[in-house]
Amino acid sequence: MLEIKDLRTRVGGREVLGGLNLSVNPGEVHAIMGPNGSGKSTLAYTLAGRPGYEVTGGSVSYQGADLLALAPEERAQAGVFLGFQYPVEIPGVNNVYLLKAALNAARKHRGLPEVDAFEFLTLVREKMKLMQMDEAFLSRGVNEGFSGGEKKRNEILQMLVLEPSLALLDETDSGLDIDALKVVAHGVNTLRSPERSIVLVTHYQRLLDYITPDYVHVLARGRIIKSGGPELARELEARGYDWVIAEAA
Amino acid sequence: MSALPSNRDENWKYANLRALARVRFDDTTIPSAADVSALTDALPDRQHGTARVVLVDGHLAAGASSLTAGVHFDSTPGGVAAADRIAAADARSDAAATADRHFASLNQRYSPGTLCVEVPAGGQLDLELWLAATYIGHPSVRIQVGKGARLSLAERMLGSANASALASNLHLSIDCGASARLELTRVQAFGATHQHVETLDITLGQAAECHLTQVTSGGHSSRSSAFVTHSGRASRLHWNVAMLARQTQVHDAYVRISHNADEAHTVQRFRGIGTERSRLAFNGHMYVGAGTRDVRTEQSLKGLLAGGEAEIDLRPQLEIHADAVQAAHGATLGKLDADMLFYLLSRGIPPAQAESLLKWAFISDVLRHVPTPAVRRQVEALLADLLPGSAAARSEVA
Repeated sequence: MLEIKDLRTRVGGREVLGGLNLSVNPGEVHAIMGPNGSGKSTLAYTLAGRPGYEVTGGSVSYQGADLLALAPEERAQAGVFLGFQYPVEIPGVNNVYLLKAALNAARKHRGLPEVDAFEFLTLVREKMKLMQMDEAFLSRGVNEGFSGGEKKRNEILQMLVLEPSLALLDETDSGLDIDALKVVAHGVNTLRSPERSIVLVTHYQRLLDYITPDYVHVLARGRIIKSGGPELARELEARGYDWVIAEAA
Repeated sequence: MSALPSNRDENWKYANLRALARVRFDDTTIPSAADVSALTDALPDRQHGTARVVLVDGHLAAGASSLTAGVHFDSTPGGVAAADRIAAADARSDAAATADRHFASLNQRYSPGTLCVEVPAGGQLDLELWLAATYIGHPSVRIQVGKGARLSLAERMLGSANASALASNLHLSIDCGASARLELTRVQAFGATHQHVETLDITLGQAAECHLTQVTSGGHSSRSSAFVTHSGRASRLHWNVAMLARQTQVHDAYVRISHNADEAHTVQRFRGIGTERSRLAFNGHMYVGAGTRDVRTEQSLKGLLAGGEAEIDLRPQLEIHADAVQAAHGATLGKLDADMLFYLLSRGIPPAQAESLLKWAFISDVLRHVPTPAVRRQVEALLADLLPGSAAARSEVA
């Protein structure tokens, strides 16, 4: 699904990712953990194609194609989804329109006709129920006046509607209370399937109590310095990151 | 007759006076029946329960109009007779005031007649006003909204598609009586070669309320001079303007709002989008007269430079001669928000559509304040044509 080799990224003239390697197979859930400033969000933004994140070396293969050669919207249409840590508010553009436009863009990429209005609303309502969201959110501006938790639910709602092949979730757990965390985790787990892959970027182990990853990686100074199973996350929670960094030095 | 203003006149600094100077405003003719038919046949069906008036180059197109009680065309040449009285209420006699009245004077000289609309006390009227242009015209409109009356006026401006040299010089005069309510929606969508200039005089009586929403998108250049006077206590004004300019269009507006009565309240919003080599200017002048109490003014002027070599000039002005006043103002100018744009792209929205959506979002700040849903939908539909790809983002779509 995703093959990252020796990826190097500069942001604002500073190298943040310095030779990152990662391989994600279909059906796998990978958790990327690490201290502040280690490059976790930079990895997510680089894969999504955010302007200002300059790739200076390495390669990223997605479903056998060169991901880095694609524009941001092409990556999304090809099935890459970025769940933002801080989703922006866009007053004046309503949620339902964004969802429909995004879904139709992906369908067009796959050579499918635009979604029928009834079918679309049925789909959205089903997913909203899953995310325990009120339908009133549909007619509101994108994330306009949403609380932090509502924004995160909205991100997962979009993901559920778009059904991406590769989901990159950037600190989806930040700012969530325990009930919201369970709802969001349930949404993510719903998407798990043998054809899809999920990369979770997180600071804390608590999200992984509800979404069990296949692999846990520690990112420090722009590189993955240790990988393991779910038990690694529990060890990091208990001991912090210093020992891993010292071990890798 | 005063001379044509110059760019040295402060209120005309950004107007496209070179283009206006080339127009022979005295070269008026009666439009041909064929030209009138070509324009009026293309108009959409009249809204149910709404009266319609069509003026072509300032002349009444009787066949396309459906007049009702209180609406008539006074074919005495000479324009709005009440103009001088309203201008006098503004109490200005300086050189700027003389320059500002130049085109109103021209209108008064060359107008073929005046559309008179009178809504009697306690009455109610929904009116469509189409101002069409085939050549050079001086449409003149006088409106009186009586005590406690309500007028919903949808004003549309459009030009003949096949003409090459068009100009219009509108004078619109409105007097709102005590507790009257006016909802005025103005859409200027003239053709690409049109030069439009207009003078608006509006007075608001005690507890009168005016909601104006204006969309300016057409013409080669346009200049709007508006003079609003709060003459009655506790009058309310909502002045919302959206301007879109592209190619080499020049849109310029000067709005002077005089608060000459206690507890007068004005909210003014301007949103302008400039692309390519266009120029936009909005000069919002809030005047608070001496001796007034508890006047409130709120001004929010925002410009969006959406590529190319576009230029936008925003000028909020406060001129306060009283002590007990609340006056808030802000003016910001910027480009498309990079974070919002990336968010839409990351959802697979193509760049052109994403930019249209963000422009829509910017303008919708004005549209959301149109009080009547049906009117709002009409304006949204027009803007959706101007911003391809944004149509379904309209507020009513769910």
